[in-house]
Amino acid sequence: MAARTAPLGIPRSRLRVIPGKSRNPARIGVRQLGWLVVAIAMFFALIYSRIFLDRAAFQITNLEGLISEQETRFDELRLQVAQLESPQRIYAEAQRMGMVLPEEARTVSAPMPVPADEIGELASAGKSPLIATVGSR
Amino acid sequence: MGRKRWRPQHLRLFFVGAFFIAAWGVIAVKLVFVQGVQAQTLEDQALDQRLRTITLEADRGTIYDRDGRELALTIEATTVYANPHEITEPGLTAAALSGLLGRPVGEIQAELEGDTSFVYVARKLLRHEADPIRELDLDGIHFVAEPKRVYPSGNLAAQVLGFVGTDNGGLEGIEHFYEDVLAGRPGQLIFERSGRGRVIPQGEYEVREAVRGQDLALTIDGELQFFAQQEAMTAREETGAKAVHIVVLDVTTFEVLAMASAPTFDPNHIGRDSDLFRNRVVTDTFEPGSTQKLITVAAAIEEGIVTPERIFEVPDNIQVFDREYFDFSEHETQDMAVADIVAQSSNVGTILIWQELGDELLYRYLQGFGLGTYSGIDFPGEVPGVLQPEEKWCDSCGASTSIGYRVAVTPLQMTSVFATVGNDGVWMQPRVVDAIIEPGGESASLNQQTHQVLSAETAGIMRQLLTGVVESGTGQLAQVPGYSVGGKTGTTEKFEPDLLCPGATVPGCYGDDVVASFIGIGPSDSPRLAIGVFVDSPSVDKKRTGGVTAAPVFSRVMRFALHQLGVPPDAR
Repeated sequence: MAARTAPLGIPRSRLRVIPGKSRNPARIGVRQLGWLVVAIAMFFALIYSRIFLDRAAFQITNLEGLISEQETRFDELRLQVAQLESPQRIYAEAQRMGMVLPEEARTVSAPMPVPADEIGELASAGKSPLIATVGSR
Repeated sequence: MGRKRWRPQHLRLFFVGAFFIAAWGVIAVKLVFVQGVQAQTLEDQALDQRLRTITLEADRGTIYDRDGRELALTIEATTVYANPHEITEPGLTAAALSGLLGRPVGEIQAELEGDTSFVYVARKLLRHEADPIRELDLDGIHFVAEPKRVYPSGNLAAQVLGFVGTDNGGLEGIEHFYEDVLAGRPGQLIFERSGRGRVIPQGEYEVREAVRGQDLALTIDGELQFFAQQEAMTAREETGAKAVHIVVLDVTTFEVLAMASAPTFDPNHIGRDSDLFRNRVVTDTFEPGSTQKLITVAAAIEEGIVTPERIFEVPDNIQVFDREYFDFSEHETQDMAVADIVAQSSNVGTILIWQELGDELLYRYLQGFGLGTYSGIDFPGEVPGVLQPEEKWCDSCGASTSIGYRVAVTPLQMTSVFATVGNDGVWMQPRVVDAIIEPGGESASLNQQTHQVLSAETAGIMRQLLTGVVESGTGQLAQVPGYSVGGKTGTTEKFEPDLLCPGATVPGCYGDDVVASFIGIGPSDSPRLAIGVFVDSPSVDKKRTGGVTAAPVFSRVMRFALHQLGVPPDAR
């Protein structure tokens, strides 16, 4: 019980204890306690959701940075591939390896496929059913 | 009834009360005004202050060659900029940047000492160029991503592709002509930010995606283009010419497979010589000379005036009104068949044919072959050339025109004439873009104009005559091992508009410079290609004729092209 000080100007001898029912502090019911728990839980849920959102936003920013970095890398690799495929580079590389352009074209002419029933005869005669001929002009 | 008297304290109370009522009234009115009448406007203004819009640049479409090789593409690059107000020691910062950027310290320092809060330090660096600067972690130096147009094959087809400016807008060539197609549509990122410039979470956030530009598939064959460029450069070095141009057309489609000029430039590092940027194959004209005899003879055969076997008595010179015309070399008067006139490129013989053909028919065929008009190729800066209306021709104009003077053509126009003969007499609109590729991969082909100039029969006869030029005439150096090819040589003196002829008072005279050309088709029986080689002002004395200078280049390019296309040899 909290002590109360006497009002100023009143002689202490005139103070007395009043008999009667002592006043009990108000009791918190189960329902109110429930609401309180819910309120606290909601408060923490709100905070957590904000933290979660912020963390997600941070991750998104990170991922976006990563995507951007990978896109840049992809672009540079794409450029590198295109540079490697350029005729200038291939020509220079071919020259370095001693390659030259052919003076004349050689044609390879393949005969029409032999009908299935003649394949056996050709095979027995030791001939291939598809013989390519190489010629030059 | 007694009159109520106001005591002074009541009066004070009244005034104080009235003042507060008035004050609250004013506040109430203002409140209604702000919350009611102006509510929407003020809300919009507040939102505007918080909203920030960033333009999202659209990726520019890629340009491919006919085999899908990337000739021009856009990559993300890094731009370095500075806020001079944040830099405490500009000298040290400039010194640190100078070595990495290859720029003088003084120049950078002057920029960093400027009274501004933004200055570009270097634009559109690749990652390996920007990373060392980033690692320096200099105060006041910032980085931002920017799209950069790159041409991975360097100078390959540079004059065809053109280039873009710093804002990525096309300035020359295909980049310029197809700007609307390639550029795409920029997008927007709209978001709310706080007074300190931070993004407000859960505030307004809207992304309007940029629409990427469409891709272009060119008709250019990258390898053939490279070979043609190499040949053009070699020919220029060997002949001391001012320039060499080579055009390769597919005769069945009039697709431009190669369009090469030497000298050229690298669109990744454009210099200041804007003359190099021009694609002279479509922008410059010359008098075609003997190559145009093809039209005169074809017109006469088509009209039934002559046959290849018809014999003419040909002296080595002829007087037509006020002008005298000579053959290239002196000779006795001799009997020449039309086929011989073409093979030996006789000026006099051709003029004799023109005398039977007449101006009107010659003019009609010149027009039919596309001279004096735009070819309609999808390329900027094309010129139509010069073909005076027939009614304005002088007495000897027809004679000059029949042998390729008084007419100005572009290399593309003249190569198209030979392609028409190769295409059974059908002229087609040349084109350099095969298709526009939508982002989804669907492609849209472009329309093409065509018209018949010669009958297929006459075209066939002309191919035989052109084959004769290569087999036994002036174009023997154009022969291609394994293949039958036909063509025509041309050597034309260049008209100098500022040169004064001896005894003349008006400037304008033929000078010493010539254009040596050879245009041909191959294989002769079933043509696939038409190739034109034009050597502008060769300075080496022995290499001043089309048959000596241009024909060998034609031979090499034709051989490579036929091999490249897998055309089987046909020579008998």
